Amino acid sequence: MKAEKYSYRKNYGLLLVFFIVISGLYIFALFLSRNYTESHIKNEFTNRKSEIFDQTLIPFNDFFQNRIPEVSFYQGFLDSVQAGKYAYSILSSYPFVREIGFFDLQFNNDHNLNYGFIVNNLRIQPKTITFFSISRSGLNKNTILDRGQMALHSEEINNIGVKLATYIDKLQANAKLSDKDILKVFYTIRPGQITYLNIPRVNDLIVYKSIMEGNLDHTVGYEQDMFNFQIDPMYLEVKNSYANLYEKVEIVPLVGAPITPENDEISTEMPLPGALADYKLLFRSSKSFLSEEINRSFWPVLGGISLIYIILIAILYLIYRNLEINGRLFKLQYDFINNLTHEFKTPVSVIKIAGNNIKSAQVLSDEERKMYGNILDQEADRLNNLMNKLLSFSQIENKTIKLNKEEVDLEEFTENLVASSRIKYADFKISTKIDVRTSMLADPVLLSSVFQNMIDNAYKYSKAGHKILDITIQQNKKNFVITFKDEGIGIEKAEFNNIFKKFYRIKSQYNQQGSIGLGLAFCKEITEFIGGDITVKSQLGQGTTFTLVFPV
Amino acid sequence: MTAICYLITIFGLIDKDAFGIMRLQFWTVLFFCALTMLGCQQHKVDPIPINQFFSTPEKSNFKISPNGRFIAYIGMDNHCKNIYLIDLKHRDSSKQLTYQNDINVKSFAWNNDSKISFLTEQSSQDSLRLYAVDINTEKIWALIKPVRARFRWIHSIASGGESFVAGINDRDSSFFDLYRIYLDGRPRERILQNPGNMSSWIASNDGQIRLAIANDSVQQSVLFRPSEQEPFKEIIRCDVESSFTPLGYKDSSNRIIYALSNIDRDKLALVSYDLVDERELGELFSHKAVDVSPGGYFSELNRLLFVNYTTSRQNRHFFDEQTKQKYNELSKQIDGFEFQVLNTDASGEKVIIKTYTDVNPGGIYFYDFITKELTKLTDNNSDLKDKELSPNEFVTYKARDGVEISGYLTYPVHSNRKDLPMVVLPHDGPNGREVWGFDNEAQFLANRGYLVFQMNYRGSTGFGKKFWTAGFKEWGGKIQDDITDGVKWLIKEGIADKNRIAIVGKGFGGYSALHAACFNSDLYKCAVSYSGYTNLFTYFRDIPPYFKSYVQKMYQIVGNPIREAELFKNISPVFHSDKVRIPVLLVQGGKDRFSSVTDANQFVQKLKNNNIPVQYLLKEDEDRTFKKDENVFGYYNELERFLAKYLAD
Repeated sequence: MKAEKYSYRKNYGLLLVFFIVISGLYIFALFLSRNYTESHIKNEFTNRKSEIFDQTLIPFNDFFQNRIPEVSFYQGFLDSVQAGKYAYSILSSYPFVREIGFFDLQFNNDHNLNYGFIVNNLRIQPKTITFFSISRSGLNKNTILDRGQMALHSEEINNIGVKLATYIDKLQANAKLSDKDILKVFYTIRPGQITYLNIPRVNDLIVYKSIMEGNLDHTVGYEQDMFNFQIDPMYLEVKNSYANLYEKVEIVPLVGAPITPENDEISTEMPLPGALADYKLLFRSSKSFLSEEINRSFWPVLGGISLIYIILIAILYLIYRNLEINGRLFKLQYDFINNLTHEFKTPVSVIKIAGNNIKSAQVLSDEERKMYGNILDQEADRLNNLMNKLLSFSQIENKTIKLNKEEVDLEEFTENLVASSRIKYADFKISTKIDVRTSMLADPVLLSSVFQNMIDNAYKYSKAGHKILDITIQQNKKNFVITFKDEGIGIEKAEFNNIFKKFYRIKSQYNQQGSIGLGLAFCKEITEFIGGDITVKSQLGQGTTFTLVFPV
Repeated sequence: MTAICYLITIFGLIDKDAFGIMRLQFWTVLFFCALTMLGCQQHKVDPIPINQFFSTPEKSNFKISPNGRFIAYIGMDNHCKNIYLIDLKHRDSSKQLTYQNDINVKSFAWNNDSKISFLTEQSSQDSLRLYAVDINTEKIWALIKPVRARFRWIHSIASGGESFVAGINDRDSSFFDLYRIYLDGRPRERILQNPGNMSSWIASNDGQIRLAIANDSVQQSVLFRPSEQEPFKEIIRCDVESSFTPLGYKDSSNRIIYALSNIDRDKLALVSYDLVDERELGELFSHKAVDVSPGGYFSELNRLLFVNYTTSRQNRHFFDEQTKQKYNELSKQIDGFEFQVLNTDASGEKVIIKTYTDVNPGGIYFYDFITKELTKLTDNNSDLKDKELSPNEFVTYKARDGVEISGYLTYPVHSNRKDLPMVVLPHDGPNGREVWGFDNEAQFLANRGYLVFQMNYRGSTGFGKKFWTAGFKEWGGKIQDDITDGVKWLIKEGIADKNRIAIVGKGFGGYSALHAACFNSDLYKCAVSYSGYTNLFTYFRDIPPYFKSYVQKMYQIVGNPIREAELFKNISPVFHSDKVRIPVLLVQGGKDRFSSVTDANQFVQKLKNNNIPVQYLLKEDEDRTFKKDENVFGYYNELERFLAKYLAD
């Protein structure tokens, strides 16, 4: 058990648990966010109404705060012509103002004029009353000059008269008009109408006071203007800037048959202020409309959560793949050590047998001694070779080897190698075709090991009795192109990339022993180290061609 | 200066001498540079604190006694205004006459050589309190019972030693009746009941009232009666544009008067007039370009010594060589200063004068023509006496229609007179004109580095009837064009920097500033209105309906608010606040009768809504002209900050 601790472990169970946890979290997050979105939308539904409310009231507030006080700019000097111009500009820009009444008033102490509103000596009398409204043909004007007719409209005058008289009665000599007083005295705001009296200067008010108290012994008359605005809130333009939340926004009377919300409908309302107070804003949406909105705003959340989930899954896959590759690598190295041991084992056991034989032999004949000598020599060479190969390979890998460049006459170089190979493998038919103009600048030792490897491989992977190798070397403008073409067993196309990998061996009968899967990887490393390139072409059963390309 | 220094430095550096010498030279140049820069620093004028420009003098109202022995004045004791006395014969017996520590002396007058009567008040809304004081015993007694009314000095010298004549409006607040007030405290006696149209009176040297000015309707008229027993008779009636202003009687005569008249002439001329024959006796002096102004007639002497007229500076015309000699001697003594004679004793040999120049507020002096001794009584503004201030420079330019407009430029001290930030300062009125003299507001602005431009736009007085009436119904019209044309002219001349021009004004000037902010936002960088008329409808409202005479005149000058409502609307800034594109500083007194706080609030609110930077300084307790020092300083402080912010480079 203890040994297992140090062995390579792949715990896919852990990955599985991780996968289950994040999937669970994913589903949980989706559930939570869906719930949140729903309550958010419902909150929005009740909260956003104040924005629409404010927006809807912008023209009314502008009218109330800016346009009505404009009357005071004229300080009572308005006549019905000027008032008409003012009324037209109001009526045409504020459709909710349906009708404007203009009261051209005079504040006087003339005892001969006994009509209008009279308090002590102060008389507030309409000179004319004019009603303005707007239609397609333009401004409609209805002027009342008849006192009997005027009496019909005395309510407004009496109203303002009482308020003004009460106010100036308490007025001190150095008083000033506060905003509160102004709203209280000069505005009369009732649902559906606003009455506004031109705000006189404090000095004028003091004069009115002395008129009221009868302190003036001469007759005076002060011009004042009063306006009455008839307001219909139904003409307020409702801007539904949250069309996604509210299916319908409308102005409805405050009282009246309450609209019971249908089962599948949600509604909320806001009462309108001041002169609009008998109406309210009603906001309605059906449930399906809202759930559509909930879905709409849920989609991006869903996307975001899913993206995170996908990223986590991708990371999981990468961890899995890493584990797999490491496992394979581990197995390769394990194989390599196995092979290497095997490779070492053969010469060592041969040496051991030879040594035992020598040790146990009583007499050694000359022939025997020669044979055992040869065996020991050969096996030692083999071991040496093996170790050299390993050493140089790791040197190249680590780039610790130094290139020893010389001029190599390829023709002579190849012939030497071929000659020695012919001695080595008696049944090997090697033909060469060399056509070069110049010598090549390379490290001859490294180059020869590449050539030797190519020749050895061609021999090794050819059927007995059909061991043929064609070596051609050609020189074009840029490169030397060297091909080794055998008629051996060939390589599967799928293996083309693998054959140059370290410790990789194609499983076949031809390499059961004496190979550690380093040959071609070694050739590739060296070729690239010198500055060349190695490629392979092959057809299973037909033969293989390796092409080496080196720059001139 | 600095640029030259740099040049010298560069020349020093490229000198081809030996290295050491070059270095020596470099250091010399550097030293020289430092010196000049120090010099430059010194030339830069330090800002003078605001309170030094606008402080009210501690001593005022210097008045010499009829016998010429005493001078009385109002000074401060215990934060209250009291009367002080200077004994010219025995200086060490000079003393304080009144000791009031809860009420101010508002004004006083000599009744005879030993008695002074004076008014006291705590605020302008106070009731009328009139007292007399004996300068020898310092005894104070009340002359009338306190009433809620206003008071006007008519003829303060107690003719016959017992009583003097004054106007009090307690019967009807809209006009004054004349009363004889007895110095021994007897009840006052009404000597003239105003029928409602009389606005001023001239007393004869026997104390009788024979001459009155009435404002009946559009026109002004002169009323005369040969004696107090006879009824008044209208002897002269002027049209809207003309005026006839009596200065006083000629010597001891009760029928010949001196007057300033522009009846049948364009410019006011000095004439003598026979009240009995109702005819002008002849023109004594006139000037071809400007109106003659009063100033040389002394009721103490019943004599006309000279007349003033103001072209680019004030001039005096004398009628006899001897007086001319005397006054030339005085001019020599006060060396370079301009002066005004404030009052004189009964002999005319002892006078109190006020001196000034455009760069010096001057002082109040006592001068004795016999001993030729000049005694300083007080400095008008001692803080500014030795400060470096800027002269007024007279300029003229042509308006777009060819009318010549005059004005004054006050440059910042030591400026290069090119591309200066400018403050345009149209005067209040529009009835009035700019004159050469000490102007603390202009000096304050010039001291802060601004070129100050003041102009006599058409409608200004002092240049004749034609020029004055050319401004009628031209508010926001040709008057405004004259201001604009002046600014454009200064830009063209390269004096004013076209990107740094502010328009600042009080009353009508403030109206012009607001009008410019509404309709000429391109020309000005910012506008300041101090009690400016925001709404001409409101401006008109201040004229009470029973004061019809004035209304008619105003219809001529401004327009008729009912019949010409469209014109009023077009030129009233409050209707056009949405056109304003430049920062505005609006200063408003809560008790201003000509423009209401409601209008100002509206104007400010509209600007705020349009995101136009606006500063609003509302002083509830102040009238049109701020009285309290703290509010005056507050305004100029705000003005300084506002201009610095928006006229910065």
